[in-house]
Amino acid sequence: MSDRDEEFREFMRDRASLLHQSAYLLCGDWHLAHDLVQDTLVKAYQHWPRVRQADRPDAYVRRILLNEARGRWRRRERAIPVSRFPEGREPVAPDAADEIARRAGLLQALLVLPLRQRATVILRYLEGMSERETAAVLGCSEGTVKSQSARALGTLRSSLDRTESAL
Amino acid sequence: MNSPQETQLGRELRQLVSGQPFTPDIEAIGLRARQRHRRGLALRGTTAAGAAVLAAGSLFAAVHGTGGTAAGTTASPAPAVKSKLMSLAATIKARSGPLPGNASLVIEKQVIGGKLMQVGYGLYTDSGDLYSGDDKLTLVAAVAHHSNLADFTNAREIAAARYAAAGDLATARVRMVNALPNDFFLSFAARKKIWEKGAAARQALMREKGIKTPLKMPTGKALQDDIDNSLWTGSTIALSWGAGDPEIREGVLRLVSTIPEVTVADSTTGGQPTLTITAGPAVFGGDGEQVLTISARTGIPVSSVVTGRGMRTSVETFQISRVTLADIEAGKF
Repeated sequence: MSDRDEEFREFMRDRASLLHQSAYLLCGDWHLAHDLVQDTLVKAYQHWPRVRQADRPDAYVRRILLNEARGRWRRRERAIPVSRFPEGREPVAPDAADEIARRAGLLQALLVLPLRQRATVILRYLEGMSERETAAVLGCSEGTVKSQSARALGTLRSSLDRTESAL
Repeated sequence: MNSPQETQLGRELRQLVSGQPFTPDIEAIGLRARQRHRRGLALRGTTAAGAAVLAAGSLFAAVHGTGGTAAGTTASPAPAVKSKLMSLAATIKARSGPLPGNASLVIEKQVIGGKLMQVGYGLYTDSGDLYSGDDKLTLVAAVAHHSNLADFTNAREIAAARYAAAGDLATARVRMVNALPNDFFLSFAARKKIWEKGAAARQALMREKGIKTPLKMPTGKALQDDIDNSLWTGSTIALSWGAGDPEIREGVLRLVSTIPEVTVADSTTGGQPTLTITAGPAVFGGDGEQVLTISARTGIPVSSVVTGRGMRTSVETFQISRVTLADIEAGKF
């Protein structure tokens, strides 16, 4: 294995899973998420010297992911699939079914958001990035991150309220 | 510090994505990256063409890096030209004059299941750069940061469309299909060798995607459908970026006119005469359809409707104009 492979493997070891999860929330489909992440990692590997030297390598890789997601939309690939239930989770009991349906509702609400708002939500609340880190990934100001977050939360509020009231 | 609602959202999102392990195959990624670098490959993911096309085209390119750029040897039938599209292409050529500005701005709205899903601002410069944003501000930022999304396939697609406007149509078809590397025009023996070499990787991907029916190497009509899919996809991508340029519109219409599974009908949209161009299921691996509506006077795209089994109808509408890069950078649009 080359030094480059070793470095890349080390870099991705703790990050690939979260990248995969973020990709799923971007597109709503695990298989598509897998493809998105694979293509993202191919590009990251190609540009590894640049990624490694970047001020924020994590931000760089996430920008590639977002560009891949946006590029796929532009290339007229399949419309974003919005499943009634998250994949692989069958309702086995009424309570469980309600919970799955609520989460499916949240996923649908998330997928309806414009891509930039969706990305803001994923980076801020799934990945736990600060507003400054999120702004660095999205190439915008912290103020824009705040406003995008507020708009997204406003849209998602009804889904969250339904979830909270059921807890 | 996050609000209670933000904290709750984070918790819900983590639960949504839990239980899906993912381990990247670094060796395969490295191999693909090196092949891509060496051969200038571009990879296409899971397309609306379905599993058969995935196996025949994308997976080949992904796993083997085979770029079928050789002259056509097996599958380049005489074009079945559709006169309405050729007639409109001739009209566009006759009317075209000096082109204002130095870039095409495409504003797209995508509605899925009756809900507005995306608004996209795309800018294609005459020098071949692509910029994209969700709104005016993000497009301006993309230009300011030189976030050029163009790859070599975009340049090939645009070049093939331009060639089709005035050049030999059979050659233009091959150029457009080969904008994305493939094995379509190699000999049967060469294709078979590549197919067999990729068996293990193909089966692994099929297992991962839950595809149980064994795939056969496309030949005959199936191969022609794959070629038509590539031709349709490349042509419509060229149109999606370059619709502001009459030469690209003309070339795309000429190319699309040669696809047997495409039908054309007169229509009216918003009181204006339009042509409805329908790419049937054969173009999409047996599942799905795309209906592209264009102006019957200019060829400028009006809308695109994509349907398929298990997916909600996607409707995109387009607003296309010629602009200058300087105006975009200054936010004057």
